[in-house]
Formats: sequence, structure tokens, C-alpha cells
Amino acid sequence: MTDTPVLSVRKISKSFNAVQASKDVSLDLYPGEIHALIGPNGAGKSTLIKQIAGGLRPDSGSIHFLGQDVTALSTVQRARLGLGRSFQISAVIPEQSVLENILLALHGREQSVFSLFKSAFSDAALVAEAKTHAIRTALGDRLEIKASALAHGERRRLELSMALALRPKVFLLDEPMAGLGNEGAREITDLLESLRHEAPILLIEHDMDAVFALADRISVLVYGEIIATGTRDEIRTNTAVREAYLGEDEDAL
Amino acid sequence: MIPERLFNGGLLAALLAFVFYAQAVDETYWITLTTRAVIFAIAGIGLNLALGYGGMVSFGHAAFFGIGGYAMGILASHAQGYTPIYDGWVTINGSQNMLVIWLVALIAGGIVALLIGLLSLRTTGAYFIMITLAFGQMFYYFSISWPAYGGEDGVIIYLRNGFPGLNTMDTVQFFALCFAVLTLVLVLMGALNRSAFGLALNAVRQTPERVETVGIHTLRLKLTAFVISGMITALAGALFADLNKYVSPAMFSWSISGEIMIFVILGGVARLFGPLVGAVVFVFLEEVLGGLSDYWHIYLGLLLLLVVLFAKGGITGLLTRKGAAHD
Repeated sequence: MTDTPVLSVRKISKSFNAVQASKDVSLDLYPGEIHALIGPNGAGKSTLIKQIAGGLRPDSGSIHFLGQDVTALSTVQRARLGLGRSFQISAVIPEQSVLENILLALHGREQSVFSLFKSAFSDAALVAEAKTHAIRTALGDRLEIKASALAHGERRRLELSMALALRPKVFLLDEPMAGLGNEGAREITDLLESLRHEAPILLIEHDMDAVFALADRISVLVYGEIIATGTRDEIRTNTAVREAYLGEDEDAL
Repeated sequence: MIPERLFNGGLLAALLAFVFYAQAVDETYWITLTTRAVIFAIAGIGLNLALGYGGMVSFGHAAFFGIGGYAMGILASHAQGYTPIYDGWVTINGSQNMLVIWLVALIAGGIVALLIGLLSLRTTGAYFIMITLAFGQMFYYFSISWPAYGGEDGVIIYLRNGFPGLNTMDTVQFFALCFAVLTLVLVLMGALNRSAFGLALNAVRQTPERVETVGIHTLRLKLTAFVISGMITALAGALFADLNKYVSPAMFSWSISGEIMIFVILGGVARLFGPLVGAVVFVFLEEVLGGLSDYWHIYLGLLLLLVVLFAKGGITGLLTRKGAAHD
């Protein structure tokens, strides 16, 4: 890892009253890698994601993205710099079709939202691109279906499709496999494997099979603190990790 | 269930047919009533952009309606009395040209909507409703206590303002003018709704966090919609004042805000033709039931309750099948 990190979180802390949700958290994401963040429920993963994505300001510490300090930037500004986020609970637009959802992301990327009277569908190249993103996430035959009518797995894929459409410099994926069965999780695993060549991925995930299949490096978050960062094998054999997190279910390893 | 396009076209045709019929049997009052419904519809279409598409429940749209009304009242009364509005380093005269009045109404409505929006769009839900209501009431009390334009009595003008090439005092011609404005507003609103802006505005109502995540500034988006919304309602206010040849603080009252909201909810929230349906039904009930009893609002309330409880898309939603979002 001689490259400079694309995303670098430096000693960020955040507390809510007496609860310290993030405690001196540092982590780096290098070009081409998938870095998984795991941790038991309540470890502070969501709080950390929000601070990286921009919804929440850390009490101290800094976040650098592409060499720029983004700690004080809004969600919108970070998105425009190239942070492609997906949500744990699908945050797609329920009353809009698959195609419209993806087009929304594309118009966001192209910053063409304030052309008030030009049809959202008038740019043929953009519509064609939206379709390729849909096809890539196996939604090519669901273009006209409203997001609210999609199956859970399809909605998870639409969520990824919208992140993809941003052509981000970094993917920030919050439990993309949440609630999926084996079959669905495997599809997403394959997709993420192909995505890493486009941009590095910070992957928050509960599915241990997926994490150990995909991640180049893994960080373990417990009570707001990163207790270990390392390769799959290092994490698998780390005693602190076993005690704190994996002990309850050794078979997971 | 009727396809939405057919329903919309049919509705416009029915309004025109009704006016032709009224003209044939010489019932000018019916034409005036239809004109009233058309103007209310324009006000409702303005509110629908904020409330329906953008999810901004404004209970203060009377502010814009009244501003449009007073734009007419102030310009026309000065022109009528041959007194300049301002006579200092530059002289500003009044005008009885509707095009000038509309332009002033649109600009004033837009500026006020920008200010109100900037101050209130940081809040949501009940707070937003209350803040917009408070702004509306500020205009109401200001207009009552402003003696220059009649205070509580308002301003009466003797002749309806002019439009190049038309005799606006003729009931049918004034109706045609308002109908043309309505059609234009509908066409613009339809285009707006199909644009990327419309897509994002509809999205921000449903899932604001997603809209930010794709790099769209949600506050700017909502503010733009709120300003356009205020401008359209102000234009309706100018037409309404011209219809009555009269403007008074009543146009600023909170009950007007409520009525504009009723047009939208009754007809169908976030439906292009919803406010037109709502306004037509409202004016019809006001005329028929209002003639029977002073307490006709009880029946209106009952109808509104039924719509809210059982017909989510309002009357339009009940009667039409929504077409594909784009075709």
C-alpha cells in the first residue's frame, strides 16, 4: 500500500451526551481495494457512515477525500466530489420507476436539475446510460416498475444502481446485502467484485461470507473504537476480535 | 376509469362548452362564475407545486394571492386618479394595462415568496404550516392598517384593466383571457413536472436524504419551487381583483389560504388538473348550496373529509387512471 489513500479518516470522535459513538476512529481506503467495516450491532457503524457521508459533523478529527479536507462540507458537496453512497434501508424514490430513480441520480451528477422546462428524458444519451446501469444491476427488464412495487432484493440493487450512476470516486456502501437470501447476496458479491475496478469500496456489512470473500482489508469497530485493522487472515486470527465480536459465533470464520 | 389525458381534455372542453351555452341563453352570471373557478384554479395550481409536488404545506398562500390583488389595486388606482405612485428622482406611474399589472404581480409575488421561503423552508411539518400562516396574517394586518389604499375598505376601480386587442369589460372576452392564462399555466406546469427539476422535486418530497446523496441541493430545489408557486398564485390574485374590479384585505385572509388548499386537496394533490377540478367543484357547491343555506361549509367539510379518508388522489384520482409518467 504505497499509494496515497483516496479516503482518509483521521482520529474522528463523536459523542451524544454520555454515549461515545466514535472514539478516535482512523481508517484509510486505498485505490482498488475493498475495505470492510464490521462490528456488532450498536458498535457505531451508522454514526461513522453519517460522518463520512456528510450528514453528521464529528466533534474532533478530520476526513480527507482525494487529498481535500471535507470535514466541514455538506452531503451535497461531498456527493459532487465523488462520494457514492448507498443506504442500509433502501432510500429509493417509492413513487418513481426504476428508470426515473436512476435518471434522478444521473441528473444529480450532471447538475442538470435546474433546467426547468426540458424533459428529464430528452437527453437520449443519459437515458441510454440509465438503462446500462439498470442492466448491470439486473433490473433491465424492470425499467417501468415503480420502486415501491419492487421486491426487496430488487430494491437493494436499485439502491446500488443509483450509487453506480454517480460514477463516484469512492463507493460508501452501507450493508448492501441487508435482508437478502444466499442467492441475492451472491449476486451482489459478484457485482461488488466487478465494481472495485471502477472505484474503491468502503463496505459496511453483516454478511461474513461476503466480507471474507471480498475484502482486502477489514476493520473491526466495537463500542465506537476500531480494535483491529488487517487482512482477512490477520482478522481471523486476532484474539481481541474473536473475544469482542466473533466469539459468539466462531463458525462464521 | 378514464385515461387522465382524456379526462383533462374533456374538462377543458366542458368548461368552454358551458360558457358557450351560457352565452347562448344570455346568462352572463354563469360566465362570471366559470371565470371565478378558472382564476381559483390558477391559484390552486400555484399552491399545488409547493404542496403537492414539493410536499411544502403552505398555509399562507393568501399572501401571494393578496399581493397580486394589490399589485392590480395600486397600479390601477394611480392610473385612474392620474397620480404617480412615486415622484422623486424618477417618476413611476400607475398602469391599467393587464400585461404590466401581471408582470408586477409576478415579480412582487416572486420576491415575497423568496423571502418567506428563505425564512420558513428550514422548518418542516407543523412548524412550516404555522410560519407560513403567520406571514400570511402579517400581510393581512398590514393591509388593514395601511390607509393609502383604503385600509379595511380596500380599493375599487371603475373599469376593468385593459388587454391589448380585447374588450375586457365583455364577460366572455375576460373569461377567454383567463382561460388562456390557465391553459398556459397548465402547459408550463406539465413541462415543469416532466423535467429533471420535477423529477427531483417529487423525489425530495418522498426521500430527501437520497436527493442530497446524488448531489442535489434540496433547499435550493424547494425554494425555487416555492418562488414559482408564489408567482403563479400572485398572478391569479391579479386576475381575481380584476374580475371583481375590487381588492381588499379579505384577499389576504387566512380563509383564502384555506380555500386554495381545499381546491388542491379536493381535486387531487400533485395532479396537474387537480386544482381545476377542485375549484370547479368548490364554486359549484358555493353557488348551489350557498343559495340554500349560509352554513353550506358543513357540506363542503363533509365532502373534504370523505375525499381525505377515501380518495387519496382527490376527485381526479377517483375518476382517472394515471398515465405513464412519461410518454
